[in-house]
Amino acid sequence: MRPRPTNIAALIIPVILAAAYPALPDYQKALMSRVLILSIYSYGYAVCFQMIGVMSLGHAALFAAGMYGAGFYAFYVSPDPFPALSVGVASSVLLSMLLGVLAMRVGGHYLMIGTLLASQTLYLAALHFNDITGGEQGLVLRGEATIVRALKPLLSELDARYVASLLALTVAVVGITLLTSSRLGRLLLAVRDDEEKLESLGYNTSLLKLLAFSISGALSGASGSLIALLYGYVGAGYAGVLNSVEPVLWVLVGGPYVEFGPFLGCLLVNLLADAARALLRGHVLVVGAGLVAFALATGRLRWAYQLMARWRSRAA
Amino acid sequence: MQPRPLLSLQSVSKSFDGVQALAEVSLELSDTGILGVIGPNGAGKSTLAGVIVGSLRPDSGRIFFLGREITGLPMRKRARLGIANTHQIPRAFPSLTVYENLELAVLHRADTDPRRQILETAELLGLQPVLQLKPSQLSHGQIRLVEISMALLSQPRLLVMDEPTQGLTGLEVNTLTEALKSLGEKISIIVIDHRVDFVASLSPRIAVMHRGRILALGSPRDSWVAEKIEEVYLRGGA
Repeated sequence: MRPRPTNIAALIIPVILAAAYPALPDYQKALMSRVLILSIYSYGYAVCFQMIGVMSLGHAALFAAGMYGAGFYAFYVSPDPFPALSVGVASSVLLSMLLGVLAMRVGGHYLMIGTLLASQTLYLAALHFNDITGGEQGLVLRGEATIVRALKPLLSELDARYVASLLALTVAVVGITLLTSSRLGRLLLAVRDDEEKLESLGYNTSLLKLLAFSISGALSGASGSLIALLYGYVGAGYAGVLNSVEPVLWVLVGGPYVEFGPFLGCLLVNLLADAARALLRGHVLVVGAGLVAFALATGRLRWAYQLMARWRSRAA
Repeated sequence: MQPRPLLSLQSVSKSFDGVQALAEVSLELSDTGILGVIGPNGAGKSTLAGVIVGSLRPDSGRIFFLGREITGLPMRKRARLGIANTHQIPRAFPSLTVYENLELAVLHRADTDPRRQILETAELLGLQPVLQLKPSQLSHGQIRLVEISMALLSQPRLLVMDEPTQGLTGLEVNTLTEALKSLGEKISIIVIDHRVDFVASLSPRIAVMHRGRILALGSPRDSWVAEKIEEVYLRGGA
């Protein structure tokens, strides 16, 4: 099989990030570590939104399920971070399957409202069960629970966080590249293109959508788990509406290529938000305004996407 | 004893918002051969295709395929039983290349060599030069041939084709006609079209539809069938 240019472009990302690391100032190293982990969430959202065409407004629930799954394990059961990561991902996959079964019965606006409500339910539950979750203030994990502590004998805290984030992102990028090159990836694109046509060829499209939702949940949950285990903190704020809306923005800004778009979008939006945060206190307002402006400009940018699609066709 | 029909429709009716699209339609098909279905716009031809392939549920009546009732069976299960279809407006997956489109039609059959079958079918319908292109780079007629190829690659026992010649050039129609004639010796095909000459050239048996009913079923050479054709096309079925 001939590798596609988009796959090569995606696989270059971790190489560039590794090469650029020594040149980055400490603040940018810390910022980039966070961006790399959130990019995994962005890829998770892209599997749902870009590959099967399902727009969810409740992905924060999947992110938070991973974060709480890993965080609870590390806080209440054992400080070992690697089983905690597995528990986090498994929690998110389970929730995504449950949500997926419910959500796939409806479509369009109902699905968006349904996923939004599910995410809000988890958020309110996290606030309500304050004595277990720590509510808005959250839980601070013991030092030995974090992956950073596990790597600390070898690396500084800053380096450990960056290396772990980069490794995780590399696994996610390779996984996405393999998915888009696989038959399953083509089937998921076919679901997005024409679900009824695919059904008429004998495929169970509900099962395919559920599978995509689960993959999306696994990536979102992995991102949430890593936030918990790299920063040693879990909090209800991550289950809020803003954390559901942000991946929509990242994926839209990143453009049509699921192999590298989610990373680029997440990077650009977070750099913009960081710059805005330095200038203004209301950086959330800037992100919101950016979303509105981008949505309005999308029509004008369509020519650029069409041009990219033409290059892609020629390359294929 | 009479052989069991491949497909049997028993008094199938379907209406949309009070408009009767199919009214008590009964029909039987054998394992091989081509049935042409003709009729003017609004006769119920596409609705008939829809209830057979499963994209539409009939309001009443029963449908049997290979002796098994499939009236409430979803489309994907009918496809797995061997019912394939092509649409009035041809449909292919725009994100995939022609080759990848065709590959989807054979993916769920583990017992086959997909590449060989895809290349053979592409050659049969003249699609070999465009296998690596996306549907957006093809003509309307080529997209239709892609859809027909997908239907053929699924190795159906019954192929339902809705307006298969729409948008095809004369040469493409000839290629398709020859391919269908040959295929009709192996499987059962329903060809729905409003072009009487095309259907008559292809099929020794045609059904004339008007206002959701089958008015005549027989050879286009039969005088009473010819009368019904004239009636629905020239006198509006009065």
